[in-house]
Amino acid sequence: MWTKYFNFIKLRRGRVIVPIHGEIDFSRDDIPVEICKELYENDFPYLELTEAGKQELYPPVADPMNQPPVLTKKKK
Amino acid sequence: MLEFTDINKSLPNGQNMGGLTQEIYYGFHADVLTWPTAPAAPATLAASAVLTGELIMKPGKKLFKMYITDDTGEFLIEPVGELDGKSFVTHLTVFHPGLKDTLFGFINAAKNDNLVFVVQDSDGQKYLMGDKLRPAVYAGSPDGFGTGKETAARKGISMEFTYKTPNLYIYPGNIPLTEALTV
Repeated sequence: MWTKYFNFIKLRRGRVIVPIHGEIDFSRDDIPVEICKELYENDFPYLELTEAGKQELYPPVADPMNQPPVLTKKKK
Repeated sequence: MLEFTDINKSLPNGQNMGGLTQEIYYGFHADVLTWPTAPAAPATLAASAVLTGELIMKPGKKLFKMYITDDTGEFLIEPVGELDGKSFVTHLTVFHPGLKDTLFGFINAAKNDNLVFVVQDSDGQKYLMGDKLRPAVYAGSPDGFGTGKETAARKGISMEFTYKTPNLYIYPGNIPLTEALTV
């Protein structure tokens, strides 16, 4: 369910006309997560990520510049 | 600094259908909290014609839908003004069938008030009528307002709304049909 990953903010949960998809009723629980993700990534102002959304949809990526050096064993 | 560019044929997927969709969206001008803004220093022609930001309504307010008969909705752009004083008046003309109480109530309330409209063309491109400084207003009923004469006539209300704007813009944002919450 999309509400696990996103909070609907700034409006009462309900209908919004959005680009490409047209009217979406955010009071429904069966909106595909992919659509919410697409809207969120296109700066849709009425969705924010929940903690579960941050962890599962956008897991933190390790910074390769901040990794401890990998030590390799020298062959004798 | 704005740069000119080549203007080529641009019809994504070959689409270029005329007319408006069968719904328009309206509200009171005074119910808007913040307006999308015109580009400040656009670098390209395309960027100079696209609004930035969202139409945000005041807490408890929203935009509303109005059904219109297919092939009766038109968003018309009229250039006006003298040399060195050119601007635009945009005209929205629609027809709503029937003479019911809700529409009479709308006309009663809207005829002398300041309004905002968002209309969507058949390709999904949206146009905002109204800005921070100027509203859309009811201008009359160019295609009739009443029962018609013959039984085959179309009973209903045609409506025209106008909005004066210094430049033309596309509104790429969302249309909130649910009440805004207190921030």
